[in-house]
Amino acid sequence: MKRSFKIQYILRSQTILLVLLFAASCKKYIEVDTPETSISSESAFSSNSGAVQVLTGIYTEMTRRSENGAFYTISVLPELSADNLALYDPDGSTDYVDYYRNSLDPQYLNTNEDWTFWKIGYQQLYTINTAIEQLDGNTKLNSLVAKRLLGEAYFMRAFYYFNLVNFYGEVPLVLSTAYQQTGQLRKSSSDQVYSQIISDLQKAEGLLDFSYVSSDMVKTTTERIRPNLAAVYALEARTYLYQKKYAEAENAATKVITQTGYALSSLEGAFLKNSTETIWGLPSVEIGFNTREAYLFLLPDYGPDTWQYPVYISESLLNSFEAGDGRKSSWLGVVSVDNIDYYYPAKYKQGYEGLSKNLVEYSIALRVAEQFLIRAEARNELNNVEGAVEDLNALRAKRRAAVSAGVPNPLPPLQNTLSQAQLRPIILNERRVELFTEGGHRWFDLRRSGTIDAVMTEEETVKGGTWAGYKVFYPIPRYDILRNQNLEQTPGYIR
Amino acid sequence: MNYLIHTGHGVPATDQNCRYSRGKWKKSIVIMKFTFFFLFVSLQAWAVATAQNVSIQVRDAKFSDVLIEIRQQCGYGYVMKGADLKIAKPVTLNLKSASIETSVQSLFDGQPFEYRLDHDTKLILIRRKGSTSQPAKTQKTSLILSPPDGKQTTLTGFVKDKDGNPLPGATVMLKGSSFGGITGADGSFVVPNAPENGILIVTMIGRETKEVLYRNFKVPEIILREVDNELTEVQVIAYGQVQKKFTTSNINTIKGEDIARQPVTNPLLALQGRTPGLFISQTTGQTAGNVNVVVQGRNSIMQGSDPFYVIDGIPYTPQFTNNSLLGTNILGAGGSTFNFINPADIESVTILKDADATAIYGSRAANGAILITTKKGRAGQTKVDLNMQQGWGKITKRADVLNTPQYLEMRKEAYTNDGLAIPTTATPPSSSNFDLTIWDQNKNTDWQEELIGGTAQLTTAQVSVSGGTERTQFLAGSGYTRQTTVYPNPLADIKYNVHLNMNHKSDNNKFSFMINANYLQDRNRLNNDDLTSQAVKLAPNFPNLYNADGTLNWAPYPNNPNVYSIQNPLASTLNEYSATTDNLMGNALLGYEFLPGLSFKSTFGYNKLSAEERVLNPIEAQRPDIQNRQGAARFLNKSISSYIIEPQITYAKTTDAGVFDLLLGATFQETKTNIVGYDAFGFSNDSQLGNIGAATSVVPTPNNLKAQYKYSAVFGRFNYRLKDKYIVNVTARRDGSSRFGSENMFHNFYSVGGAWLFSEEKFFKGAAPFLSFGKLRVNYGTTGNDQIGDYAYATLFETISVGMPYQGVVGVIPQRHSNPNLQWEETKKLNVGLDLGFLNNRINFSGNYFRNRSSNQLIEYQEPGMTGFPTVTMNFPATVQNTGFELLLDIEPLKQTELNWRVSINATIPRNKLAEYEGLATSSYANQYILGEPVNIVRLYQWAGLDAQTGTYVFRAADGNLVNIPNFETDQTAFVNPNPKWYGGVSNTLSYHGFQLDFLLQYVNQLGTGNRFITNGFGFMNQNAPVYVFERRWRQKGDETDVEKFSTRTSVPGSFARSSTGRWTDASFLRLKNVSLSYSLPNHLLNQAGIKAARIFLLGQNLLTFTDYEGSDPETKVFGKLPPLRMYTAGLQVTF
Repeated sequence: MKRSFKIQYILRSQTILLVLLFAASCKKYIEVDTPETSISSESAFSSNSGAVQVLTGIYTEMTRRSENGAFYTISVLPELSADNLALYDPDGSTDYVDYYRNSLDPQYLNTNEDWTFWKIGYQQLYTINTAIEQLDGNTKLNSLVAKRLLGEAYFMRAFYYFNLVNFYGEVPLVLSTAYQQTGQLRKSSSDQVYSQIISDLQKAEGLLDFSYVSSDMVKTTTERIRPNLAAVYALEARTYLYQKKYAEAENAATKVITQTGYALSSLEGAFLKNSTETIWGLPSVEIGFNTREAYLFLLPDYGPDTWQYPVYISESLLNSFEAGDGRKSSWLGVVSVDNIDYYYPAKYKQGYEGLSKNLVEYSIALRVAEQFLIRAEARNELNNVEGAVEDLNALRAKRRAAVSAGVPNPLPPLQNTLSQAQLRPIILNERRVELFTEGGHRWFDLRRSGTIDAVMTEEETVKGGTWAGYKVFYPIPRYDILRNQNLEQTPGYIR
Repeated sequence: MNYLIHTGHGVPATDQNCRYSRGKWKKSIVIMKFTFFFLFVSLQAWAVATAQNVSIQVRDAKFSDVLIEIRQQCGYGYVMKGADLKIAKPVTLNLKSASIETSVQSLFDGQPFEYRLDHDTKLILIRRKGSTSQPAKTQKTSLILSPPDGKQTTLTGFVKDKDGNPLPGATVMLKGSSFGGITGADGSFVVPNAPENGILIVTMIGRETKEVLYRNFKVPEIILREVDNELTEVQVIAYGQVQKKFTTSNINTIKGEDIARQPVTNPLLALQGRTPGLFISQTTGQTAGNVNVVVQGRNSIMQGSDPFYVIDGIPYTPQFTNNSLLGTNILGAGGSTFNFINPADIESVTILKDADATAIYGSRAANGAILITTKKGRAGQTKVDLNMQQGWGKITKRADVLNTPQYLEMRKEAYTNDGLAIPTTATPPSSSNFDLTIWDQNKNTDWQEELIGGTAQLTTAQVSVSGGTERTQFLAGSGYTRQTTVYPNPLADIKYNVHLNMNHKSDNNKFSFMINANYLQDRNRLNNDDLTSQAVKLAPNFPNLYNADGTLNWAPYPNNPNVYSIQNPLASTLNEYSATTDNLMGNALLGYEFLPGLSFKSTFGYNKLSAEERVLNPIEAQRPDIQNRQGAARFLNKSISSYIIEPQITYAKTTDAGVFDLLLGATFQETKTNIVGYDAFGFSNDSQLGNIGAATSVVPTPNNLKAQYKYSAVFGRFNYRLKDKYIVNVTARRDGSSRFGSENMFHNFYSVGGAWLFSEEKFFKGAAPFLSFGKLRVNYGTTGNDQIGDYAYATLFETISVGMPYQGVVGVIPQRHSNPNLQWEETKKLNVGLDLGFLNNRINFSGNYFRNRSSNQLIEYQEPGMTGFPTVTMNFPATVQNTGFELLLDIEPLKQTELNWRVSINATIPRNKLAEYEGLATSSYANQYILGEPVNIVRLYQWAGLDAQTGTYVFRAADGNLVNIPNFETDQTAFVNPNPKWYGGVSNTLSYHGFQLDFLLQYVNQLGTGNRFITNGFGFMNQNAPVYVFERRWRQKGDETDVEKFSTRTSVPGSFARSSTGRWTDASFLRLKNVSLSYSLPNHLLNQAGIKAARIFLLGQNLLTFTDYEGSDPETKVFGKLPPLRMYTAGLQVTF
């Protein structure tokens, strides 16, 4: 009796143990849910709202980030590298001095090396590539939503590669999220990169239309904050121009210029949100900011300083405005300190306003005026001087200051008797005074026009740096060179 | 007739008062036979070690009398064969506490006899020299202890110490039954249902275990001696306990009393220098800072090197998430969670190092395991313990920096060197020249005195009540700790803690229950910034920090009062930081003994560590020229909560074929991490900052997290011991963790270990009588490392927190590359150990050689940023090898009743190397790692001093040329091993009457970065320099010196010098880490006052440091961070 009792105990305890052992090695006990604070990539693209969140994340990052290499710094850093912006206290400003003095050399020693157009660009491209991979052939989403988002993703890939290829010359074409492969890519030639940009834009053409949509991707809206077909054509026009494919550039620009809803605005209205001149603008996501550009550029009464307001308009840019150019009076501000006038970019006029959520201005990514300038340049290169002058004059008419006693003939129309060669520097200057502190245009234009060596050698005497031809392209961050044996440094730089 | 048998359950019988009278000689032999037969038959696996001491002083004494004396002192009888004691010569001996071997050897020296010592039978077998007959052999007969005649009654008896004082709290069990009792305050016990004849097993913590034979229901007086031999100590191991003597592992234990002697609030710091194989360094003198703990070197290239911590059986997270509102200037801002453990509650800390000890923890213990046991209640009179301390701390060392005339000279020279005009008060002020244009040219402030020259206070008070009966014991304690800093503000870190413990056993002793709870609340209001860097760097003529009215001074321009020239370093002190951390740990144990030896038990543990942090940024702390100044506040709530359930079955069986111990168990664990933070802006009133309702805008901060970690396992251990000489220990574990991809969730770990107590071998006893203990240990096994973040295998998108979501939609972004194939990192450990005891274990030596090889390394593989993210977590076919020797020597140079001295010396010689790395040359680590060198090797440029012509630094390039700007890839030809070459400690305990003096010396031989090249050159505005820089600077062509010329610009060669050999220096040190002097007041005085015991003590920490190191502290090795403080405390301990 007692013995069987013991056996019972043993059996019972062994059974309990066996059950526990079985239970413990069961997967159920170690499977965890996705953390509530995150979503998995599968679930992100299995619902319309999730997929919209991913693309919206790309735009949010563009306007949220403030590091060097963030979207708005395209309007700052290359302008410092070129001749449009001056730096107040070069020795004190560790963030900007190497861009300003063209001394990103040899190893980004004095800049915040971590943050570059390279790093942020490829980070965004990872999200964009994820979106393309997940949206292409996706059947879980509403087909209209999927189509539109895929179009946006192709456009965004083109947008980022356009900037990368212009900042770095040749870049590796990362078109997937498979880091095992993309991590060892070689650079593609700039021609290959441009072909990819055009290919992506052509795909986007088939997926987007001219309407602007709200966040459900269906309802139209007046908010010009998601790229649409006009944005695709505008970027196409710019890309073809850089490729010297002038007929295609003219054609693409014309598609934007002639589209209903797009027109040149007044001097005062051009940078207001959703102006007819806006093709694509990015609203701030941070309370208090309208645009980060205004936060940086608008100088306080005491003028520039080392840390918060370090940049102002260069002497060289100031001297580029013709008499009676309304852009000088309307798009520049001035503050006088110790009898020195500091001019600053004032295209955006809404500075930092504490807790304001009131948005008046968006950061402009693409606008109509550039399309006129692209078409003018394309036409001139196609020997259509008359057409070029026509476009330039259309723009100048909108930028003309009022007649005054001192300037009886402000910003006069150009004569179409000018030769193609005479018109080239005029177009270059027109682009400079129209597109200053926007999109890195000046820096790229100097290179495209072949004038950069002469201009920069002269400019360095003001900046205190030294110029060399290879500096038209920025160096690739050292850590990428070290981690990818196939990646070569931008020619001219020490690895 | 009463019989005493000392078997000690493996504890050496140390009783020297064997009571055999001369007249009962014959009977004694019978008794002796009885004794060893009993040992042989019943307990042959229990060792009888040779710890007996013999003291005999005789002159010309009779040989037989001395033999009898020996028998009386230690119980070794003698047997004659073919010998006649009459032929013996007179004996003259002078033995003091000699071993039996030594004593007998001395006795037989010169005598016409041969002898053999038989430890098993405790007999000296004697024969005449040259005799052919064999020395007597013992015979085995069977033994029946208590015939089952059915007679039963209740036994009573007394347990006393050697002085005759009653011992409460000893457990008395009837052998072979579950009946027993615990002694009361008078030492008496009652054992029910006892047979007429039998054996009682008497056990008590800290005392030897004894088996006592009784006859006719008469129990002799039982005397339990204190265990004064550390080999007999019971050692805490994973899922159990083992006698140190029989362990097969490399384990060290630090007692609670050693921790209590150190005035530290983080118990990990009390382990420094005390154990071989354990390297602990403090990252900052700031409380709440992190503590680095490395057991036997770094096994992982990238992943965590934290050991696995277990407190009372519950795993404990050492790092409190990476998120904290503490300023980044405070290193390891996540903070050591051991700041939330009260050192006074700790009973012991056990460090498990090799596979034998840790494989049963499987994937979590590749870096060793540290087991912390908290104090438990004990049976006996209820007593109240009170302990109070007050301490004072200062920084140990100041940097020697320039005074104002020197500083200004440096600045002016910098301008001259750069070919620039020296600014004067007439020059327009700018941020690069305030010190020369608008600041006072004659002011000279010692900023180190101002900012870090204060005295930190430490106040602690602990009270506890404990006691209980034989079945139920309890302990309840509570404490208070207050700590301030050396900064110029009265902020404090206050801790309150409660500790509860209750143990219970049912009447039949089958059911046992234990519950434990620890709670600590930490209210940290300390500065959230480390002011040390500012204290060293601020220009000596930097303006006063306060205005006359007590507000912060922002030093406006003289002619333009709306423009300000400084960032006031004390602004951060107005940014009030507060963190309230609650740490609740509860655990319970339920056990039931189904059959003798077969028990089921389960532990249940719960731990919740939660903190509420906030940082307020009042308008007052902001420079007046900041546009739209407004108050802001950041809030962060975080918690880690985990539960664990571990059911276990144990089976122990003693048979003729040895002692078997079997353990089978399972683990279910879940940990949840929660982080919620938000920023609040737009406070118009500084006094409302804590009120989130007064903010006009509240935005969640990024990195909010809700994560989950699940872990489960089955494990087992089999221990077999034969004849107390041969021990085999096998453990195994099958682990599953949610941190890995679905393909690799499970893995197996195992270990095999063995020990041989060779000193128990007969041939050894004769050969080396001076050796009182000898054990050889070998073990091998595997453990793993899963210290990667949760969810590393999956691609996850996280939300982007912004104030105004883009088009009303909260965007998401991917967080990292995913790797669904993630696996464990596996460490194979080999450990060979030798334990020796000499001269009756007054000298104990323990040596270990370890070789740990970690493969399948889990690393953050560096990917080019062009892939989207700079890293991906992956397993890599690299192997890291840690080898080393650990030595521990315990000596008792003085062992007298009044004066005692113990010394413990430990040393570790570690070596770390990257043993294998497939395809290193083509990997992204080609420029970082070197095969055969440590994984954390530092590659450096060869610093070649200063070019005497130009005054700039030069480096030796790979091709041998001297260059100013070396090539990153090719010229980093030198390397430095930052790991300690050897380290250790020497602790001493001296006691004389009521006085006890303890001191600990810690030594480390290592290299570190010194105070050279702390900036990229000298001569900048508001950047003070060490004095040597001023004295040794280059000034003109031809100056043969080694400090670069001053310049107002960043020096590019100077920045290379920062990663050159010139920055590295010897950072070895010998530190008087801890001194404790205490005096116990005499009992007769106290008893009149109703006090049981009282002790006063003085403690000191980091008292003296001997080093050639140039920087502030060779332990932190960081310039400009608060070094560990020198603390003195005085205290009082009273027991009622």
